[in-house]
Amino acid sequence: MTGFLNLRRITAISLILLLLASLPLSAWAAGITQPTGVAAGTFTYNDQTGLWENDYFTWSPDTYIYTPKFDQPYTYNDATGLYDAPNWVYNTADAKYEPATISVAQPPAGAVVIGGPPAVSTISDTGAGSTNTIDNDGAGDTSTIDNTGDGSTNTVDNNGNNTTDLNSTNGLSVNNQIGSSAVSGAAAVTQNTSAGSATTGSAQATANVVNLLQSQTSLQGDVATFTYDIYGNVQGDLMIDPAQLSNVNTTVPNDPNSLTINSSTDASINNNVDLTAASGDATVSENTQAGSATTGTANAVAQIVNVINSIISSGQSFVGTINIYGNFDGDILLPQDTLNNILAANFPTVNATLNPDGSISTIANTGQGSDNTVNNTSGSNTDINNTNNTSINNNVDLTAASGSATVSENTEAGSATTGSAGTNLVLLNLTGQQIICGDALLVFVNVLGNWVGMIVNAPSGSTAAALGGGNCSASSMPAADTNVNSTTNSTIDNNLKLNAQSGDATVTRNTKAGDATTGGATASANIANIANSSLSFSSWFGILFINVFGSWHGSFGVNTAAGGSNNNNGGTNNTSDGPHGGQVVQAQVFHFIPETTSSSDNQTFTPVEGSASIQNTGSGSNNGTVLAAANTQSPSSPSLQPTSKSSGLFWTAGSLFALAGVLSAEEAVARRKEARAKFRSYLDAITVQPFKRY
Amino acid sequence: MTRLLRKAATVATALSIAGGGIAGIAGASSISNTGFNSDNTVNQNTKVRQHVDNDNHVGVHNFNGQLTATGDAKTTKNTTGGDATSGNASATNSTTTTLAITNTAPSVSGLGGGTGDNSIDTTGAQSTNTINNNTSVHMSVDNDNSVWVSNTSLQGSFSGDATVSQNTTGGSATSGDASATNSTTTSITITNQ
Repeated sequence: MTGFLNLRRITAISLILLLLASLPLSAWAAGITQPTGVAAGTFTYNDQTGLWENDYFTWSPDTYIYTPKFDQPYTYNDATGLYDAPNWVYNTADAKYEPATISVAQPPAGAVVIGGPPAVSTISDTGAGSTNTIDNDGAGDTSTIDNTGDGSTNTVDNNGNNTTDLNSTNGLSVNNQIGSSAVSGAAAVTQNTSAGSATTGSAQATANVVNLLQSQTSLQGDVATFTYDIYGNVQGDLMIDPAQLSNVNTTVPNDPNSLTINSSTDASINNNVDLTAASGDATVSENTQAGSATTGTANAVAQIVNVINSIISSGQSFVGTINIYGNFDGDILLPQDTLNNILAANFPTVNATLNPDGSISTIANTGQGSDNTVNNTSGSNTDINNTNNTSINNNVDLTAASGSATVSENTEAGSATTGSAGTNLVLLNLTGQQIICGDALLVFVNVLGNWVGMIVNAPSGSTAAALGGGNCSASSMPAADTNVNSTTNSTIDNNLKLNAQSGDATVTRNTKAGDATTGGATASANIANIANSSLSFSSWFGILFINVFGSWHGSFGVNTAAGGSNNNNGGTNNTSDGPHGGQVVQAQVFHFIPETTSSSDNQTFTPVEGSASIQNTGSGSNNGTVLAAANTQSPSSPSLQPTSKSSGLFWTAGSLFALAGVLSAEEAVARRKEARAKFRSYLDAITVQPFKRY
Repeated sequence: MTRLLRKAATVATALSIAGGGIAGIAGASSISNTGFNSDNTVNQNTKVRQHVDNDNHVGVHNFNGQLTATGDAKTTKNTTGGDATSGNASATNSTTTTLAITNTAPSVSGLGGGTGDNSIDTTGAQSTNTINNNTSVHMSVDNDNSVWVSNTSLQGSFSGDATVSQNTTGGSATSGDASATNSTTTSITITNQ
């Protein structure tokens, strides 16, 4: 019994010591009262102010009053007749503060008050023969004349003269200059008695550009991004499962054009993207016996998302890219009934867009060198003049050329085969639309070879589409009814120049040698332009780029016979005796797992690969297991070393010239020289504006 | 070579007016219990002029220059020589610029609102009772926002040449891969409210 009592004493003393240890020493020593309640543990004592504080409130041990550390203006709500103010409330379940709104009938003394109820004037209980007049002309205070005698003349004259002049001038400009050259070296096997092959590496130039200009985004947490590269031919279905992405309670965003009088906004996005990918030449010549000459592939890819004067509200979101460097036989699927609504598509060859005034504008998908413009002008009534000019200009120049293959003057040699060359442009414009859905996906299908397939629910031939799930509504943007003389000029200029060139392969003057084979060359671009639109998704929002550098036999969102089975019901896909030799074919599932970063409380979602049984019928590997939250490199790429930031523009430019000069001394291949010369000339051509001083 | 650049800026201009904002013009007045044939008048004249001038001019320039190059590989003039293989060259850049400007001005709706109550109560017969409230509020808000963001990224990625020449027995010549990847994200939001 005594031992039990001692144990209780020890436990009690330990708890007291733990409690005391949790207090700041100064507060403990001074015996200062601490706050109570569920959020008490978030407060720490500030010796200098004599207050308990956390990130949102202070608490006085003298008055026991909580004081917000954030601005808390009280705004009169005409609908409720109450005053609303922002607040932060501790959520015990999540153990953190969350934003909330408090509504009170009367703001506390000293509070900042915005607005108020309309004035009330009364004249009552007047005597016989009185003349009573209330003349309210505009706002005024509450006035009362009450209980007057007979024959009185009673007058309340309120004259309110309110003039408001709101002038907003917004000039916004984003200029992106991107010049990238990727050139692999030449390979030569010459004048040997016996030697091997000459093989040049592949060249890949990629640009990903996302511009959000004068656009409000309410995306929960960080945007999960991934790039997944698959090398070789792929057989089997792939599945993307965003189900783990959490829902949020989103509100329909406010009209982006409200609350302005005499508002003028000029917003422009200029993307100048110049990509060059060139693989080196391969030469096998003048050998007694040697191998083949093979040049690598050259791919130039640009992926651009422009969002201007728009609102995107969503829960978790992701931007992903799947690159398949080979042929693909299979479907890319989503869980059943995930995205059943087609919101927009880019076929047939004309994008129909709803303008704010209800009219329909079109952009013709005219291919290379096109110059596309949509001008929307609308006025809702005689008092309101909204001029909304949207101009989207896509100037896309794609060039792909495979090198020449030569086998000549050999005693005995193999074949000469040139690689394929292909260009492709996938363009999706979304203008003047208001879309509310549970979730949505913008998908771009960029197939450099032949594609036999379709996008679910989209017209046949579509290569890009906006798909929605849940309860969806899509309409044209409503005309704003509070704007007066609003002019918005939005311009998106996409100037893309992509060049892909695979090197020449030459087998000449050998006694005995192999083949001459040049790699394929592709230049392609995926472009999404979203202008003057409002997108609200209660669940998730994703953008998915699918680049297949070979041919694709299969569909997106439709489970066809491609890939081995069409028995998939939204889960894994098993077949024991399908058309592909009885091989088990399962859908490879990509889903997202939640992660909490140590540096913040934000919960991020990392896309990972689930069960995988893709049949790889070609060379290379597709056995990646985790898709990183940032762009991943191809398995064969070298590890990337971080570099320190440049100390200045001139240092960097100078270094570029110096390095380029050193390299040029040993240039032997004409194309390589051209590429470098082009790079240098580009450096000369660009004008870097100095940091503007105001 | 990898470069990650992230810039974020938030400019918030919030206007708060001392004394409770536009609403709540003080000055409650009352006249009561006056005699016969009184002449009772309350005059309240209020004039408020507010001018808010928000000038936000922001310029951001991001310059990224990268040049990666691997050396040449040569196997020449050997009796027995191995392979010549040059390394891979890769340049990766990621630039993120986030800029938000919020200009907040008090609402001009619902002027009045009560703290300046005026009353004339219990006056005698034949009285002349007059309350004059003259309120003049002029609100002028000028928001001048100009934002200029320029992202310049120049990348060059070159793998070296591979040469096997003049050997009695030589291996293969293989040049490395070259890749240049750029990711640029720019977000600008201006809110005038």
